[in-house]
Amino acid sequence: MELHWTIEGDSIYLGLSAPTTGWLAIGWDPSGPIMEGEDILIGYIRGRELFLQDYYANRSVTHANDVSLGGRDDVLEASGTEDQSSTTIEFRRGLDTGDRFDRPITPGAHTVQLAYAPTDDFVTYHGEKRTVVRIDFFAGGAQEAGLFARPRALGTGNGPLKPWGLTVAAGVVVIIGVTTAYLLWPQRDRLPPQR
Amino acid sequence: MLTLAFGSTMIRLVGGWVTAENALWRGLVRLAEPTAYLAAIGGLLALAASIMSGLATTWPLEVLLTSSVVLNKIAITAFSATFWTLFVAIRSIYGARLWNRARLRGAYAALAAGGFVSLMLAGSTGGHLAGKRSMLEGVLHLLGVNTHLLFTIPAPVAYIAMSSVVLLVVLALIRRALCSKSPPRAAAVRPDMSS
Repeated sequence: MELHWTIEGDSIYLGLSAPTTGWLAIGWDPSGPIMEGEDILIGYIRGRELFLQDYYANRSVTHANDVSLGGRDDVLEASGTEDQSSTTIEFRRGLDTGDRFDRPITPGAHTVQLAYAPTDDFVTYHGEKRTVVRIDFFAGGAQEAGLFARPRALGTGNGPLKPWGLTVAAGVVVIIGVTTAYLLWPQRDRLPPQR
Repeated sequence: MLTLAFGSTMIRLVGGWVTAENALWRGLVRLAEPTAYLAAIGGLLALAASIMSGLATTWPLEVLLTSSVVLNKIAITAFSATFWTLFVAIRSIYGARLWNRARLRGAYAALAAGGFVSLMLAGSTGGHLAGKRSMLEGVLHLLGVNTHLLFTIPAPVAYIAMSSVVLLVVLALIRRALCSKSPPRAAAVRPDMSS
C-alpha cells in the first residue's frame, strides 16, 4: 500500500493506492486501545463512483461515520480510480477541521495506520493488510511503528492481563470445584450414625 | 447446538414432573435426553472450533489482548466452555441413569443453565465487538453491567475463592471417605426384636 501527501496552505492532499478492488483506509492519532480515538478516512470505488467517508474510531475495533456521531464530513474534494487489481483514492481536507471527531495534522510525528480489504464492505476485516507507521507530514518520511499503537493501559507494568487471567482461572476453578464438591458430598442417608 | 442442548435438558427436566397422556409430549421428553447429550457434544466441539478460529483469524492475538471487550468475551466463553464440559462429563460418566438421581439431575440442569446464560452473555459481548447493539444490552445496563469495562476481581479475592473451593472439595472427599468406612445409617438402626 502506498501513501503520498502534499501540504498546501491549511489543507493536505492525501493519496492512497493499494492492490485491491475493495476499500482503502488511512487513520491517524489513535489514543488506544488499538484504533480507538483515531481519525479515519475510508473509501472505495464502485462502478465509476467514489465513496469516501470521514470516520472516527469510536471503539477499539470499530468505527463510525463522523456524521452519525454528530460530527461533520470534512473531505473537501476527492477523486479515485480503480482497475482490475488496484485502487487509488486522492482527497483533500483541512489540516485542522475543528470537528471533535477529527484529529488535526500538526508538525511532528503522527501514528498513522493504513489498511485495505478485498471488498467494498467497510465491515470487512482487513486482516494482515495493514501497517502502522510514524509520519511527520510536514518534514516527510515514514518509519515503521510496529503492528499497532500500544494502548496506554498496557504500556506499564503487567497491565490488566494478570488480574484478568487470575479472574478467569478463579472462575473456572470455582465452577469445577463447586460442581465436584456438590457431587462428592455424601448424601444424608449415607452419613455415619449419630451417637 | 448448545441452545438445543439447554432446551432439551429443560424439556427432560420438566418432563420428570409434568406427565401427560399426550403421546407427542411423552415422545418429546424421551427424545430430549439423548438430544441434549449429543447437542452438547456437537456444541462443545463447535465452541472449541470457534474459539480457535476466533483467535487465529480475526485480530492478531497481541491486538485482541488489548481490548477489554475481547478479554471479557474470552473470559465468559471460558466459563461457558467449563459448564458445558462438565455437563458432557457428567452424562458420559453416569449415563441416562443420572435422571433417576435427584442430586445429579439438579447438577446437570444447573450446568446447562449456567452454560446457556454464559453463552448468551458471550454472544452479547460479541455484538458489542462487532459494533452492533445486542438485545441484552438494555437488560445488562439495568443490572449495572458494562461490557466495555474489563471485568476483573482483586487478586486476594481470587486466591481466597480458589482456596475455599479446593478446601470444599477436600472436605467433601474426607466426608465421603468417613461415610464409606461406616455402615449406612439404615443398617445401623437397631433391628426390630418384637417379632
